[in-house]
Amino acid sequence: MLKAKEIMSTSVISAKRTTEIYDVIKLLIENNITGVPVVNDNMTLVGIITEKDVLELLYNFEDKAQAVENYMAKDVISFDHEDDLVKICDSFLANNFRRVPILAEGKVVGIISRKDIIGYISKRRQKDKVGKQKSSKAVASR
Amino acid sequence: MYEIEEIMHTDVISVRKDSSIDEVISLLVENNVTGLPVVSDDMTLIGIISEKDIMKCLSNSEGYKGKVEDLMTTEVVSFDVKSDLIGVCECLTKNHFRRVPILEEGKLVGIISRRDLIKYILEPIS
Repeated sequence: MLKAKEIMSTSVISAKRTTEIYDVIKLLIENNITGVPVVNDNMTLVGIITEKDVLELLYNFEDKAQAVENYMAKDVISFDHEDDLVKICDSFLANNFRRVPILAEGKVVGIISRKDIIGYISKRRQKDKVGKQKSSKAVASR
Repeated sequence: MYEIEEIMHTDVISVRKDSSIDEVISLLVENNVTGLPVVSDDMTLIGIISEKDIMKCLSNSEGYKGKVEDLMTTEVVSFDVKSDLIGVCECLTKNHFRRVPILEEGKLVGIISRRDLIKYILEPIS
């Protein structure tokens, strides 16, 4: 069974509770991502902040810039790096979020998005297809 | 020019209801988008197909043989190009989807995502 650690991205872009909300927006736009985990200095997870949370600013953008902790979601579903990918897929189907933080010993070590899973499976299928074509050619040339 | 027109993307990648699921997967991955509108030949909107819809068929290890129409969502919230932008903002704040198709006389002319709106938030300060 495929495990979380085999497909997660380990180059995780994260924010701190005190990061300014406009800096998070820049992170989202520059990296073309839809959300980032919020962590403590020791990489323990404290929340997640997404495009949807940021949209709140459309209604009060004249307020003085505020910290991430005022906008982030604190109830975050996360998984362990040894968890089965199937368990994570089930969670994506049952929920509306599109990324989950992956932890090892309670610290954020990766992130898996729906896109990571879709991309991984389509790549593996293409490989399988090529593999099959090659093996059928090998049989034909015998 | 309407407010919505200033923000929407007009280079919309769309698919047909008889497109293959493999094609949708490639388009989503290559263009780094999370969903695609489904249109008929005259660009009338008939549905939307998202990453979540695709995830429903991934458990089939042989690949999914069906078409877009088998997995797409047909109840799509869309906006007319003349509508108020604030309605689009409210819609994308309250709902879980992250993009809405924009129509003109019933035909697809653009798309607005949460990303497009948050870029708009930054404008006054940058």
